[in-house]
Amino acid sequence: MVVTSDELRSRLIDGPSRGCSVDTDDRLAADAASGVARAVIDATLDSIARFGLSKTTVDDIVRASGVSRATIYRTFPGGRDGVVTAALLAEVDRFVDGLRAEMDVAAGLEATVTAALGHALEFLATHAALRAVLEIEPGIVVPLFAFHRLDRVLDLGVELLGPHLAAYLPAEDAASLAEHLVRVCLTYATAPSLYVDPTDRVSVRRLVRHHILDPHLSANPSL
Amino acid sequence: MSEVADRVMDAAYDEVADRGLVGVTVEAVAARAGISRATIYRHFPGGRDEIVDRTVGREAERFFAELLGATAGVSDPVAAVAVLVRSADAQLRAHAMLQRLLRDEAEALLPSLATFRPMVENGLTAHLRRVLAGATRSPDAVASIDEVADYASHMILSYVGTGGSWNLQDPEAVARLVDDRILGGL
Repeated sequence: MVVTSDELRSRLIDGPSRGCSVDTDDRLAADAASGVARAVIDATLDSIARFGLSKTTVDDIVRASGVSRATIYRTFPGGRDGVVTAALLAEVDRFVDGLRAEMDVAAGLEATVTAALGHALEFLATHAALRAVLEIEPGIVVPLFAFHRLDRVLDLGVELLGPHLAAYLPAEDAASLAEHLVRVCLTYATAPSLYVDPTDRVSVRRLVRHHILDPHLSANPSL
Repeated sequence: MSEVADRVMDAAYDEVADRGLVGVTVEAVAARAGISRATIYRHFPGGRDEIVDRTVGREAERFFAELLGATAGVSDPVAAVAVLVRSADAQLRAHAMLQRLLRDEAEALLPSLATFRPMVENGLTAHLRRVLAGATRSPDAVASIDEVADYASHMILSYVGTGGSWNLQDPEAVARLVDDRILGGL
């Protein structure tokens, strides 16, 4: 695995470190650089979606992005692994930013849980590169979550979701619910169900209201 | 299931115990079982991969049989689900071979697990539908028994044998888990 779980954890919780650029030239240069970076990352994800992770080469990325090899290696040190790591981290950022944005505007426990779960399920269900890797090379991804290794992922989920849920529940219950939501997300992402459409918020809200939160809401209807 | 097939799978199982999954070859299995390669290929045309797949499948069948046995005498549906959770968790934790393989050779085991996952899911969901058929519903219940069984099956397979904060050998904890996290839709 190209990224350690500590790096991932720090990314999820603290976000990427962003430099401060005041000078206009620097800002323009930074914009141009980030445009190139974005093109390379998009091309990498596109290649993985088509060929899988193992078979994606820098040549594929050059072809799909129109960016030269030299520029790619300069922008992402570490060769192919460096580019792939950058793409992975960029997707993690996108996931977390979207999750936080949704939870920030949700009011009430049901809306917050529906927003979080809806975002996560849709992200995972529609992510072309991820679906390709799961289908072509499940051995790369599944061991990260299997059996006792799930603990790390659960801890990350509790850190991400816990604070938002704690607005409505005692801390211990918030942590327990956060763990449960990570499990719901992973299980429905890998084992589709006739009853849950991950791209339909109405379907997700049904799952949340009638199966996940029912015990909580029965105990405290004001949530 | 034929006696020859059973002996082949027994030998394969013992090979894995001694040498791990990657050490399993038709030659080694033939030698251990005292069966010719030709006979083995007749019963397992897919060769080594088929032997591994069907040996895993046999373990999955045994897992199920044990689950059904554990819940057979329990008439209350919610209690039956609790017994099912404890049995599944206990079996997974006690299965020394499974634990070793997950620790040392997860990537080699995955293809077989992936083949059998749908079978296990469908079997578990079907069993839960039967168990929950007569369950008392809460007055404002909306989901059908099928839907409740589907969710319960997904969540049971997530919780059993994995880590997290729950001790599934503690009956009180399991009762709470079943009420709050598995049968919330009931």
